Amino acid sequence: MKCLVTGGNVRVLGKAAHSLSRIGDELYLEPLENGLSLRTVNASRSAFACFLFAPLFFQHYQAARPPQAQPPRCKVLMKECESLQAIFDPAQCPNLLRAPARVLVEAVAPFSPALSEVTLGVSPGRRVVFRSYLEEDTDATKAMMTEMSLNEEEFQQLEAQEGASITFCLKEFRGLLSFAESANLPLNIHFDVPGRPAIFTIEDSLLDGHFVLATLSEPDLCSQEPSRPGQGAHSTMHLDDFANDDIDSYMIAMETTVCEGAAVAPCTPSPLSEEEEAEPSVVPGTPPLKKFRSLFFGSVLAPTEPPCEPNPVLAEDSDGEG
Amino acid sequence: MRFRAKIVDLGCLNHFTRVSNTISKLAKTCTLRLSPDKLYFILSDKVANGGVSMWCELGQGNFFDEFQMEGVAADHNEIYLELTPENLSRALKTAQNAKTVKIKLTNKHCPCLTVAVELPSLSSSSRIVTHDIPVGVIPRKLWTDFREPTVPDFDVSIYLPVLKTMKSVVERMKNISNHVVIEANLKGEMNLKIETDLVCITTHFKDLGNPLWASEDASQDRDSENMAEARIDIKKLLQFLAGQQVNPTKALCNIVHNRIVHFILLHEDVSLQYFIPALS
Repeated sequence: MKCLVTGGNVRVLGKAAHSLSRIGDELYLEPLENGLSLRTVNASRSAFACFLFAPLFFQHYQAARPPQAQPPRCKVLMKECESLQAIFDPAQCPNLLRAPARVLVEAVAPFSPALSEVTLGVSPGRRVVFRSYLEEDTDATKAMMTEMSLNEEEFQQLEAQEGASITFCLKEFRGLLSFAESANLPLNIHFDVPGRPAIFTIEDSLLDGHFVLATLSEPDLCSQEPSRPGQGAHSTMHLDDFANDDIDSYMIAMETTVCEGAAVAPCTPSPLSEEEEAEPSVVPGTPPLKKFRSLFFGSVLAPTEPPCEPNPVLAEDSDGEG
Repeated sequence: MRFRAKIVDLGCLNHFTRVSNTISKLAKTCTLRLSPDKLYFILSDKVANGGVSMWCELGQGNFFDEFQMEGVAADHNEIYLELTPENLSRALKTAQNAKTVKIKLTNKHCPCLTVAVELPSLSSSSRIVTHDIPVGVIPRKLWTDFREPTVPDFDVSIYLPVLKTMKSVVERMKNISNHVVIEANLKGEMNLKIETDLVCITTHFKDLGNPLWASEDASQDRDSENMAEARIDIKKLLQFLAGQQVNPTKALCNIVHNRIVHFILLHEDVSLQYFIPALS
């Protein structure tokens, strides 16, 4: 392989590598017919990212020498390795959100840099809402919750049902956002039901990038935020909402009884999809497990959970190992 | 019990944000007391705080365009909340270009102070950032823990030097000793002294001026050169000085010899009192 990058594209290549480094530790390089691919996956196999740079991106692009030979595939340490390819198809995702990178950067700015996961959804009234996700072992009476809601007009495209939502890793998303912002490109978010991976894409004539992130498989926002009767599960902040101020009932309750945390709705098992992915079964009635569905070799459970039965492999190593 | 308030003026918002930032540097948790005219941030002198206490008072009319509250009862028209001030600061940080900021007491999964920030957007309707800050409602029977401190029967009252200068002196002293002696007299002189086995360092301030208090009976007999002193924890002094974001209109301290140092900072619409007990 021999490629030559010059001028401003050197910086672009560097930024792409930098944003991949926010996901995984190893960079897989593979020169292909249609360009040079840079890919990475994170340690728990729940996030995958790739950039493809078209031959025109380079001053000189030669995939293999001599041209007929097998093009090398390398990890950054220049060792021979397997090909890394996740199975995903944006076209299969019913929901799509598209916005300039700058809008999305501003949308996630209010969240603490320490926040791990964020929930993105479409609220009644068709506002796009980002909300901080509280991990299960966090005390809800101590942690601050933040929500950002934007008008759908700020999005170039919004094809999603009201109530659709997914929860994914914010830190990994920020990696792609910073690249998209520096390249001044819009970002597409293709997503499906909770539990199925979300696909984030950017493209222009010289490159395209795909970040595939696992999403939490909780069915809806109800199980995340124990809500009192009468309040919607989606906490939408209407512009002039002072309606739910009533704390008197809380005061009465506080004085007469010990307050217990509201019960959290159990996670119902999703139907199995035979073709691509299978999910470990969930015992109804148990509290929801935090599970990021792995794109690769089985699912990843929270450390304290006992391992489930082994799951079908979603993406085999191309040379048959594993 | 209800509380709702709104800020629309950017200057008021910045000012309130600075107060919140100062409080968050002085206390990890504190009490927010709401009354029809005023807000208070209170830290009472529990052992857990190392004996330090704080009383910060704001006139609500100087900050809020709308301010409505209903206390726990008609004859106790106040609300006392336990709050982590850093959360309030973090919420206000997202409001830098806000069109409006609304703060209200809500009951989500627990009692919360909800801060709703309306931000400009290119579309027809604004962006809204909402922060739910969990708070604890303090029952009426505990309100006596949070009474306004009385001005102690001090030996000397003196205006402070420029806080920035005082802070940089104390910052350097902190590397050498854990304690500092603060002493002052009625001739407008103040010294900050540290002493170790190897070295003594004193910084002298002159011509600071002594405020006149209404009842000066005790101190009139005092020899004006006589220093009143207190040995205090240097980190607590530094924490107090480092928390100040704006130069106050008036800054003074009252020293009760070997007992306590009482700092008073006055801005146009905010007053802050901070007590640091003397070490034995």
